[in-house]
Amino acid sequence: MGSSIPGSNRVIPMKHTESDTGSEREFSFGAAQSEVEVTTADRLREFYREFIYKPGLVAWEDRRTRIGAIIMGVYVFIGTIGAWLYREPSTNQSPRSLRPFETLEAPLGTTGSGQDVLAMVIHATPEMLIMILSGGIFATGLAVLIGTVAGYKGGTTDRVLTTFSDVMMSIPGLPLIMVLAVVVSPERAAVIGILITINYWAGLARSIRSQVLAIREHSYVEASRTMNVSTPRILLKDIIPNMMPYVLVNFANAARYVVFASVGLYYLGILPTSVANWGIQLDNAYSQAGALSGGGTMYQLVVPMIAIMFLALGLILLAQGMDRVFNPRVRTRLAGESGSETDDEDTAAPTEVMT
Amino acid sequence: MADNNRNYHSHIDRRAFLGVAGASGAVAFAGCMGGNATDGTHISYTNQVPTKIQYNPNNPTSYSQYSHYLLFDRFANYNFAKGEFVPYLIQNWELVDETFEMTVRDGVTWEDGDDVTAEDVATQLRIAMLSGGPIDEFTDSIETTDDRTVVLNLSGDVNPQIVEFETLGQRFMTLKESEFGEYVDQFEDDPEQAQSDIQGYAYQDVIANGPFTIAERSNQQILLEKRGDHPDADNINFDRIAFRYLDGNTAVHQSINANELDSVMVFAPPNVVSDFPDHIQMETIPGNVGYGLVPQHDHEHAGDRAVRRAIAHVLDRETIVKNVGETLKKAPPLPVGIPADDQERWLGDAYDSFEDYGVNERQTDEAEQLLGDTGYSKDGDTWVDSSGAVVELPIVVPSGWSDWVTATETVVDQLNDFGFESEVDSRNFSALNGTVWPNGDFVLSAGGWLPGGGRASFPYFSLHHQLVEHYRGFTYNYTPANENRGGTNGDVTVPSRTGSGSMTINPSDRLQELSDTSDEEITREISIEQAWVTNVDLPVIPVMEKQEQAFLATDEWSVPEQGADVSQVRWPHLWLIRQGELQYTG
Repeated sequence: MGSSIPGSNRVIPMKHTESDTGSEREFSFGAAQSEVEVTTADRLREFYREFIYKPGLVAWEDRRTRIGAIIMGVYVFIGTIGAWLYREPSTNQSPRSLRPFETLEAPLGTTGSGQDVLAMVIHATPEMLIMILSGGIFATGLAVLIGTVAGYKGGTTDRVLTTFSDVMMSIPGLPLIMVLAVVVSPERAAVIGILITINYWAGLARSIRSQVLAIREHSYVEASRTMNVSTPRILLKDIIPNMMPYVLVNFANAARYVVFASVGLYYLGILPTSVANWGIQLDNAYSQAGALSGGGTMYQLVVPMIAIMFLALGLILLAQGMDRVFNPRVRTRLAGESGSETDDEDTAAPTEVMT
Repeated sequence: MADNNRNYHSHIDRRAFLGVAGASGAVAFAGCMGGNATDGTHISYTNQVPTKIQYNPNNPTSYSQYSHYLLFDRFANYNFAKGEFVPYLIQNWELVDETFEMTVRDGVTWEDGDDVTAEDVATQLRIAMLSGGPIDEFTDSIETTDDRTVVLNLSGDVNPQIVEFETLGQRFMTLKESEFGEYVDQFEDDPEQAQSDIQGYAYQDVIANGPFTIAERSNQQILLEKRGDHPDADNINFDRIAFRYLDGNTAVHQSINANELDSVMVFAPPNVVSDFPDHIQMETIPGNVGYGLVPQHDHEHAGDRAVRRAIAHVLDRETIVKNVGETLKKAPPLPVGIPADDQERWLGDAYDSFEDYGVNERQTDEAEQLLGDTGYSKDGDTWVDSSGAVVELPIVVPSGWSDWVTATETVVDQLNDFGFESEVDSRNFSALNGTVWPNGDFVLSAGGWLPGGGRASFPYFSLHHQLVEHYRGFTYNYTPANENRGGTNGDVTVPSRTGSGSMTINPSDRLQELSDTSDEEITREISIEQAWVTNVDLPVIPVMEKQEQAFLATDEWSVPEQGADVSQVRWPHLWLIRQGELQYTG
């Protein structure tokens, strides 16, 4: 049961793993049946094993995940300890227009107003991480909520929620964000993240709904239903866990979208510049320092660009690595529970994700 | 950089190809795309799509940026170095007994053969007056007494300089009587319809009277050809000038580097300028606009004169200018309601009695003294007022204006360093202009301290801008200001400039006097007095002044030496051509 994980809009038949799913059955129904046999700790352990450890192991086995995770780790380090250790950018903290690698004081050079370029990049990181986290959680959270409820409940609920998603999807995203940014003038990074993904979730909700339509027909869901398990519980216990990898992949993609969109909006001067951001650096490099006009200020453009590129790369690699979690054969074999002899590591077809 | 140039070449080539394939007049086109003035074509620049440019000054949409300076003769040209108008189409003017008499230059003709007459000049001025231009405020009627003489009958006493600036400044002889006279009649019948008709009219098929006329327009450039029968045609030793369309400053910088432009107005930061080829000469002209801080005079701290003065002391204007780019900006020697280049001329002997607040230093001692005397004290590193509240001075600034944002960042750092609590609060311009400024919802705001244009060089305009009515809708609640800026046209009490004691005066009354007087002594006296008010009370805190930059290629062109008086006009490259000061030598 639980290991029959749908790819995009399809269910992979799970011959190899039929025999290994006993524990999951207990997990899924245990709480409903008996309070004695399964303690909370057991359940947590089981949850950890099924939804974190096993997918994690599978994902980690992939080189892309490892590199992606390391990159993200570096950003988190820079955004927390790095920002705490390294000095804050301020005007005239160093001589003006130093080039990179001229002094140790400002290793990546300074701007025309004597701001340390490295400090600017580092101190823009925490806000960016908060932004992608809030944007990602908002987009995927809302999409999962609306998608699963719509798909599972069907009927009027489905029609209403689907129409709502369709309407949101049909609103052009960027212009909407621009207007909202001007009206709301958000200053907190978390709010900006949500604002940017204000209608990003809609497409994702749509595809999650279609997956739920398939999952709800499975016998174990039907069993839960006949046992009068409540709808929220079925959604939480039976349906959403089966889509977690797909959701995680889309989380990473939503995060990448937040990076690009926020940088773009900052570059265009639409978001308030009170929050440090790489987009502002790009704009300054282009329009204030004339980075593309000669005069050797290209580094002011390149440094924040590298920061953006690597963050996006990290997120892409993570998403692709997690993609493999979709392939249940690889998953169980690596988790040490299957005697499967298949060796088709690269057959994990790229999963359709929201971009 | 080399890469950029290469890319840019291919860009141009592709454009050129498209142009040749698509446009008529391919031969002329190919001739001038060939590079730097091979056949004596002067190549300049415009950032407007050439086919859309129109020449009706009453219609702001796509109104010409540069080419009309050569197509039409201007009435007179204000020279920033001399501080006066240089006669051109209007050769003489005089204000006697409430009439302003102008004499039109002899021998100027329209392209269609007609002479440029007093009636044409009158038509131009009548339309300006009827459509609510500033000359309407002091003019009763406009008459012509003969073919060469136009007379403005004034409605009362007006300062002659105001009449000069409003009548002659930035005015081009564009609206030929035979073509546009009907609008004057229409204004008498149905003013509203006439207003909307003339504002909506795109004047593209022009009848020129300047030394050049339009030969050809394409999407890439507008090409002008010399008119032999203009009185100044002999000053010009080349036949064509092309205004090439380039989109954005970066494209222009790259084009200068690739040696493709002979003259251009563009903003270029210092590092970009130093990278230009050696034969490119830069001229800077006062912009008469600039970045300042508009305080909210209702605010408990920004409304306190001591705090405003402390801010002015704490700011190192020279450092701010250098951070933004010293080729782009200039630090005013005195924070006062008169542009940097005109301060000495207008203040004269009084100049030394003005407070400069430290143009290139941070006068923290003076600032501490001022704050200490008015009940502020330091709590640790932070200034607090008598009730213990921290002095918070956030600064709002339009987020897309990168030079202003850079300046604001520096200002904020300098204020924080002194112990105020300041931060950059950048917002979208339309949000600021639409709600924040009119609602007075700010403590300090970035805002212009000068009204712009040649007329800002006459203190009446710049002082009026600071003391009475800012050109943007700042509700800054300064008592002497107009009601629409939150004021009551009230009095202000400032320390006396000479000697001890204080004086109470009414700026709006005094400026009204200034606008009505034709006495030079009184003009100067009121200018100095009101300048003193702006200097001491700081209704707006001046920080830096914009400089317009012109770049002239000297490889195949002879131009006056850098900084010559004749170049101190809007705009040098186009004025020099008429004056015979920019000639082809290749």
